Amino acid sequence: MSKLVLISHGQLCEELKKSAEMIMGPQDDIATVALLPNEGPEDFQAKFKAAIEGADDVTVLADLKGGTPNNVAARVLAEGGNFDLYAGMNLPMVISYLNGQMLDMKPDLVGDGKAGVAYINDIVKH
Amino acid sequence: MAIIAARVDGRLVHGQVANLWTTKLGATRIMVVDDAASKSDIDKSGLRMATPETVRLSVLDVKTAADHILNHKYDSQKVFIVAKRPETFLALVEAGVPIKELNVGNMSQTDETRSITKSINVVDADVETFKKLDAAGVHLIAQMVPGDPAADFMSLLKKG
Repeated sequence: MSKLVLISHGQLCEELKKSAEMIMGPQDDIATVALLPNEGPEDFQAKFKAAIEGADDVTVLADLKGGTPNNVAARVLAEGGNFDLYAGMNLPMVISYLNGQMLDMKPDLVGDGKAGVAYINDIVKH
Repeated sequence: MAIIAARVDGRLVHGQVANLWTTKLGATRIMVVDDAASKSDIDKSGLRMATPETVRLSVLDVKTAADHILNHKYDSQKVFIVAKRPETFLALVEAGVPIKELNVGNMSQTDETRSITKSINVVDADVETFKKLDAAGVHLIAQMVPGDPAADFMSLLKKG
């Protein structure tokens, strides 16, 4: 079973999932783990480990490289965790992942995530 | 090949159309049929921005769209036609464009509309247009995302 896990400072991950569902329809295989203001890395690590348990193909998107959610996940990865971890998550990456699932292809999450970042003034012709 | 899908969508090219349906359908060209947008550089620029870079875009009025399709201009392509309103598709069908199936996506709510689904809102004139499309042999479906089953739109319309 494939699973996408979104992790973030606060509820960005939960709301990002809702935004993706507005476009791509309901997503049962997206889990979210929010680091809340009153929680420490240990609390987050417990919730994160519970979220990735049970699935054999796990992709994790973290909101910020160097932030606690990413750092905790990176530590779990370094200790032998079996999942793909990306930082800098955005809606294009989530859409890219879901389209990859739909077409049964491995998506280029970093490429698609970067391609979705643009200075629109350069595109809009005056 | 030419026309692989057709969709009524008041938002024309947006998240669902550009990122989801175009990918799922493997469309190589999105054809927006809209008389007003075809004459507006601002509309066209916005539609181009919303279209994935790997997909071509046409923004045409009804007559030009029908002419291009009937003159086999896109036979080697996979064209996904999008228009805001059902009457645009009726005009295409009446001009001889072969549309077998039409997915009714987003039709937004106004003070005059009644709701068929959360995303489809119609006035009486729309119902008449859908009946004419149905009578012309166009299979009308409502399918928000590819994972959902395609609902028979004329049945939904009767219930609504």
